[in-house]
Amino acid sequence: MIHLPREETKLMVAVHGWSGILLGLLLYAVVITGMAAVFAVEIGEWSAGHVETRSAFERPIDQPVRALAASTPQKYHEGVDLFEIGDHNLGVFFHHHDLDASGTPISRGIYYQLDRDGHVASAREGTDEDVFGPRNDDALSSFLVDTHVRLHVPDPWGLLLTGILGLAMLVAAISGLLIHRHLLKDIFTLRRKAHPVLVDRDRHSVAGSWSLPFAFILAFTGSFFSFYGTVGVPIVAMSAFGGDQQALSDAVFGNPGTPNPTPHAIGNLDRIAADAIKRSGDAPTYMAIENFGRADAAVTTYHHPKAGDIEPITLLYNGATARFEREKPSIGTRPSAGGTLVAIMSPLHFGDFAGVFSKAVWFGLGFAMCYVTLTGLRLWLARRVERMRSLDWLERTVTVVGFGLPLALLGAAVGFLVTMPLGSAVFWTPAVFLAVSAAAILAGFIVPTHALLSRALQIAIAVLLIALPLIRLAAGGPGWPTALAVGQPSIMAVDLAMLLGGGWMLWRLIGQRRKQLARPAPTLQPAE
Amino acid sequence: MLAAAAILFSLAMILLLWRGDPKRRRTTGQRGGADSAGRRRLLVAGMLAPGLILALGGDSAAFLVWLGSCVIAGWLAAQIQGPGAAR
Amino acid sequence: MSPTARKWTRIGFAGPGAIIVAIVTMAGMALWLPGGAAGIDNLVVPLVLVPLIWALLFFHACLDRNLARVVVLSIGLLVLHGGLVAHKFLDKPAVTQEAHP
Repeated sequence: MIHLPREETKLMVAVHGWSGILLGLLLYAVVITGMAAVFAVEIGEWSAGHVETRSAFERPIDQPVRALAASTPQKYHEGVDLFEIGDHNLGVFFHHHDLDASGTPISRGIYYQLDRDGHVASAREGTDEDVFGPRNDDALSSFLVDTHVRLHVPDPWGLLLTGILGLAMLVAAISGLLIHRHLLKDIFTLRRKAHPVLVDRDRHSVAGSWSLPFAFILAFTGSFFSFYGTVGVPIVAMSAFGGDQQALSDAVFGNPGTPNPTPHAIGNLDRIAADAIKRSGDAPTYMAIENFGRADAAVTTYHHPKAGDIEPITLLYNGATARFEREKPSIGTRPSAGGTLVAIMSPLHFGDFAGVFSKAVWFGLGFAMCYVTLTGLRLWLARRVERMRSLDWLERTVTVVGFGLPLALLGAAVGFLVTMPLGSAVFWTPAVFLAVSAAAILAGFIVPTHALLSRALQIAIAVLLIALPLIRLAAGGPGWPTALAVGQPSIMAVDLAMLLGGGWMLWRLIGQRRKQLARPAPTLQPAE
Repeated sequence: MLAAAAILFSLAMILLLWRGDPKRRRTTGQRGGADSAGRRRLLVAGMLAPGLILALGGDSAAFLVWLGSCVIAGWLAAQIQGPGAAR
Repeated sequence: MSPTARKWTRIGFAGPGAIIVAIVTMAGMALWLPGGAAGIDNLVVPLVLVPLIWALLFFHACLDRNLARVVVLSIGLLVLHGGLVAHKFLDKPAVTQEAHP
């Protein structure tokens, strides 16, 4: 498609290949957990057997919040955040804004987790870094998301690492486009009876060519998320506000108005919630109260976008009177190009703007990216492994990571399902992940041939996929009739997806074995 | 719904593009039957048109779902082993 | 310039150079971009665009045959935007207000 001169093409091939091989395995880990995290909510519902379908905001919140405020120190009434936790229960974070030792804005306060009857199940005091962490019933989805966002490396290094991986993906996408001279002509060509290098090349370039626009979007939005807090905000704050990050935050997110510290009871939150649901058509995903208990209190509710839009809906209420003031953009006090640009970063990355339809598409795109990454690694190796036997270890490593990682994630799911009823899922979910990873690495060392290793890992994945719904039921999870009766189809959907996925994999693996035993050796075709 | 119709129409165009793709037919040993350049341009225009309509209509959610569906459909179509592939 | 020197110059501008220039450009852009309808464009647009700015600098350094142009463009951007930031700090060292209304 783009014809660069020879020297430049060679350089682009080197850039593409080396960024791929050096960072490809880590990038694969980020992409595969990202793909699974698209359905983090559904996986959470499936794994913890959540059967409550009404939002916490559709049940009374006013009384519980007032009761909590009465027993929470006044200094923490500066901000009150309400959101859902677990099986549509309420989480409430009373806090004030503070700066940590390095001048970074943090929130400090008390985080209450309520149960389904509105009683306090837990109360933790500290900074937002301290109090928010995985719970027993969301340990699996937390584990997935944390692996994706920071590969479990502490902040800010984990975010910087995933940010760099995002840039590597961006470079790979752009250089891939520049390398491929006949991108459109080749876009349906998958030679099967050809030299292994050509077969791998076709697989990689067909998948890569089709998914190019999304590789670009996901890499770009992903690195934005990793870098904006760690690098972007401190530097822009330094430049525009002399280092005052709180001032930057206020300029971008704040609700300007004349301060009025006169004490005034907060307006009825149930009325606000009901009005917000009516206006937006959907329960809030988040409710933020500023200056709780003052005359200048403001309540902002955040909702999923309207049909056809991708930007979330944000509604602003007068906190003291509970009256609706206006709909505002997510970022900034009025609609602007910059505000819209930032506001679309999330929907573009997460694909959650149109419910299950957009999530299914994003999941498929994530799968395509995993495929592109892995086939790229195999292509790099295929070109070299004939000449350099010493690269056998790298070939095995790619297979162990390529198939071992999804196997370990499925193992983590088993660990979660078995230990959640016992209350120890936060420990066992990552522990089982590590144990299965170790087993896969061990297999990489002891299984005699590479082909056998690859096959064994794939069979293990297929078997676990089929077993998971059964393990879920055996561990006490709700059956399909119960799930459908309470209107929670995601439990059945995830079960079905696993059974079908595992079944299809097993069928293919058995079929491949039969074909291998039957057909003659592959013939060589001339390289194009 | 407009979005579903747009996606289905583009999918049909993608399948037609797959069927007549000259290089794919050459590598799978199918003689002749490849699309002319003009026909391919028409099919590509047909594939892109529904997306353009969705975008111009302001339905950004549907546009993105359409774009993603086309990407996945194109990739899946390429996996299909047409007649003559088992050579 | 010897081929080795050219190669290392190019690597320098594509590698650490692109990172530094992208970050300084992001900081400087906050000072000259218009605020837009909500007065925040100059703050958020550089944040969003910085990965793209970096990518453009990286690929330009790799692909532009005219090495002198690569050097001039990178250093030019660095000086312009670095200068804007430095100027602001020299004028009002303890500033906590926004760059422009």
